[in-house]
Amino acid sequence: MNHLKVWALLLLLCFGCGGRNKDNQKKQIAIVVSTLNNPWFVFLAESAAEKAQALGYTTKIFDSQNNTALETDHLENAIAAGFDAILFNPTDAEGSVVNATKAMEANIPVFCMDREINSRSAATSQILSDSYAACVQLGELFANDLERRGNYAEILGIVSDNNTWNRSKGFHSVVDNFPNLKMVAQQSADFDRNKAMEVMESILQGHPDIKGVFCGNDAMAMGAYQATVAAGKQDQIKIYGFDGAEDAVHAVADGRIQATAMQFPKVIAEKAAKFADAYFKGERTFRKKLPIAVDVVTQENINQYIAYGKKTK
Amino acid sequence: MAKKLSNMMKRGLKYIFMALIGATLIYHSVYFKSLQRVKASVKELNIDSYAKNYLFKLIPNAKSEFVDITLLRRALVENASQAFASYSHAVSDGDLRYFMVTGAGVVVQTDSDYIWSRSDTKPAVKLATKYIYGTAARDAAGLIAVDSFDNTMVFNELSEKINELVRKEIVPISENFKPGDSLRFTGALGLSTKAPQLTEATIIPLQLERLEANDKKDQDVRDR
Repeated sequence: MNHLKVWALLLLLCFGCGGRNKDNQKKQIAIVVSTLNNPWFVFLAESAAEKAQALGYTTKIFDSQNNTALETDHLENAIAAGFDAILFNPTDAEGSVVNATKAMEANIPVFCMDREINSRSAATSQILSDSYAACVQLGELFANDLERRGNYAEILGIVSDNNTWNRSKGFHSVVDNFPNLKMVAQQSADFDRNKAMEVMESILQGHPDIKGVFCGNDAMAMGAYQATVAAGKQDQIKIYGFDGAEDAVHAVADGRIQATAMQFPKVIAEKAAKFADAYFKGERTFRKKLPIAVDVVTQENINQYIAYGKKTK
Repeated sequence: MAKKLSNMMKRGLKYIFMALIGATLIYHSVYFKSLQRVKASVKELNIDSYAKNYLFKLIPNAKSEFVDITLLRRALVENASQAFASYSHAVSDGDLRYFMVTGAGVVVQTDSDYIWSRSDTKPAVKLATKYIYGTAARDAAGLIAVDSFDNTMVFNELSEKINELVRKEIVPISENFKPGDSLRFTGALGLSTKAPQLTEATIIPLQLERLEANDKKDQDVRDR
């Protein structure tokens, strides 16, 4: 009969572990981030945690390491552990829909930060950078800086992420109007600095005459810059990034890279935490997709910005 | 015999519990979704017809709601923030906002990229005839919400489709315009709330027509 008791206990554990925490306990917010290997996402996660804690909640940060399967585990653990809301920076626009849906079906609100999932129903709200519009502006700057002629390269981010294509398409919606601007190479470096350096080294071997490189984020722009320095071509090639990360802001200031696009991770993270707070207080009407404007930062206006945001007056 | 029966029962119960545990674990490790639901979620929007409907039906029908460029010019001088609040739209919360304007005037200059049109002594406005890009044409009227789209890539693709239609269907109307011709337009322009300089703005034309003499007289009366 002892065996029966053990099995019964196991069964109870299986069904019991998904219980929600009680109303009298502090509500818990899970912050699931695509990667903590990039300082931009570390800042996003920490800003979200800081705001949520200031609003009176306990938080736990989960690192998905850009791996959708690991993200699945995190979401399942968060559901099982009885977290009350999830501030979610997804790994994959399509692949993460299922993960967010599971949480929503468990009546846990999901607020996406920065990265998008391809669904309106799989998240309570999605707070996103308006990457496309910013890259239209970067495209105009790029075309003017290169005097609308010459060869250039593009280094893409993770190909399954919508930000990658929104940035690329915004950029191309402008530069493709100029037939004398020719893209001679387009490769992905997964938003990773080291990979971008390798990609840029290989591009430079095949196309030593390029005048510019458009990168889908700042980490890749910095990697591309390292490769141009190693090849002694830093004065020939203009580099453009996206994010507003700390090293890129410094690089724009001293002219190593031409421009970046300043996203506002603190604004995005704080808005997500405030939305969760509003949800706990009974609010149920949220914008399904809320784009946040992105500013183009060059040497001309760099004095208005610091890493990850604007200088406060 | 009784002992044998008891052992068999115990074994049976054990197997039932094991099966239950196994079924529970399998149920929680696999995600089922009906094929109909999956098909519905990936049902693609027809971007071409959406863009055509927007440019050739929604915009002409909503024309009376757009601000006249002369009125906007005056409003920006008198109270810029009020002008932005009353007449502008934007998808994202930032400094750049868009206006859908109507206007008429006389062509004062043309080149391969732009037409400059002036109404009376007011500064000329610049209509783009070559470089049609960005999100102004989609966002200025405030008729298309990002919330209606499953993903922003499709939303942005719509913007590109509208721009393409403008290039193919609207811009060619301007090909025979020459200085002295009268025209009427509906167009989208973007202004920064920090520096709302209308004279430097480029208008993306969404409707363009040559004005005949009688039409021009009517417009002159409205301008006054």
